[in-house]
Amino acid sequence: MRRVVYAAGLALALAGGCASAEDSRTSGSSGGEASVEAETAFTTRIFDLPEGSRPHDAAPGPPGKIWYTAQRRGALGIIDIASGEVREVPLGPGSAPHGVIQGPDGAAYITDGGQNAIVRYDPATEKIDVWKLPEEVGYTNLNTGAFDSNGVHWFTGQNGIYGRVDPADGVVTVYKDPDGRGPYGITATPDGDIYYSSLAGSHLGKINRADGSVTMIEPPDEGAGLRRVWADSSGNLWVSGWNSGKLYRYHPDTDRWDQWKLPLPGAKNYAIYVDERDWVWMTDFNSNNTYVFDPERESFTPIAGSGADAGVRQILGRGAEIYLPESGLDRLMLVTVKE
Amino acid sequence: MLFLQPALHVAAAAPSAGERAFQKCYACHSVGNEGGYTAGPPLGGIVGRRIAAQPNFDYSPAMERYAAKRKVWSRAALDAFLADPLKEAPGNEMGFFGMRDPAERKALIDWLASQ
Repeated sequence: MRRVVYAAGLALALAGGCASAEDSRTSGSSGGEASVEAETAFTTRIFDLPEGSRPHDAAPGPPGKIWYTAQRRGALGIIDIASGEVREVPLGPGSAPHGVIQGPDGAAYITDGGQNAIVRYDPATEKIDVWKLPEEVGYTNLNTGAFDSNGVHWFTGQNGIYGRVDPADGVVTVYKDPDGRGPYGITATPDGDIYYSSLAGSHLGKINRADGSVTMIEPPDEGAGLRRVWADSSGNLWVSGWNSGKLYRYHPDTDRWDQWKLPLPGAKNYAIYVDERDWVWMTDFNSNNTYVFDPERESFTPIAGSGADAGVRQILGRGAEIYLPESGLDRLMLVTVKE
Repeated sequence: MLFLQPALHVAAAAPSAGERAFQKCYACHSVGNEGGYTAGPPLGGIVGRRIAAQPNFDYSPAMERYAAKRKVWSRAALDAFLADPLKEAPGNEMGFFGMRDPAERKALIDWLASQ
């Protein structure tokens, strides 16, 4: 893991008061004592998006561009970082996109709940492919996608499914989560394995990519509400606990969990993302804060929303850039980590 | 603890327009209290009920503020909320940003009223 030098930078205040190390001490199997940093070395920039976009998720686009799902406008948003220009590409009738990631081919892969389809947008040609889920599956409330090491796109549907589509042939296969409704976040490990998290089912699922079956993994807290999941460079899974207000780390090699309580009381941990430094980014929906967690220091650094009720539901980034789509404000905050 | 479960394929159904619309709510809402934990409160009997008044549900501050303003889930309140939940109740936790089709909203409200 690369070390990042903490320099005196943008001073930030915790919304609602400063949490102490005692407040954020781990209560689980391991994880140690956590603290809250008051300063860090990053800058923020706000992009105003078209009114009513309701940006849900964001992802790196081509160099210099950020993609976001404009869920309420049924479009893929494209931000040019240098110029600040924003445009939106309509995705089709009834579109209501939730997740977006960049595929190995450089295209945007969108989990489009409104169209009940995986949508691919090619930034070079602007061609849009729509791979509908099989009719007999019904509405699935598509959520998030991830690519495995074979270039297969795996996805979740919150109505109780996960599935796959191979961009080579466009064939979509859907599987039912054994616990029913809830599949939400999904991630690929460095080895190319796929794990997803179930919010209502409150479990992780490791997908057997050969036959589509799932190995279910239970968290240490019953009803934790595992919302999103992301892998770090070692293949450990970081998971947001929506109901428990905790940050979890699952070690697949030892079947061990670590846990940390988010700093403020009543926290609801929504988004999760592990950046290239293995720093863990998450959002507390109740306090309107994004937190950066340094696993080596076990410290939480807060970043307040750009306004009240920012509603950051997902985080992704590239290099020094971290993207915070503010669904409640029709804005995207770009955080740049100074190294 | 690990469990290994085989994957299953999903069976088809032929629901009404209102029940089809409810599938957009199903991930986070039950009708009654069936089906275990859900992130949102049950929606059966919601038409005419006081807003944010389900017992044993921990409503967000945003929904508490909305309840103070709107009071009751009238059909008009439901229609406005379903059309643009974040505009109606800024800061609410729902990950669903609106049902654009008025006919779909009406079908959903009619169906919920029958539950």
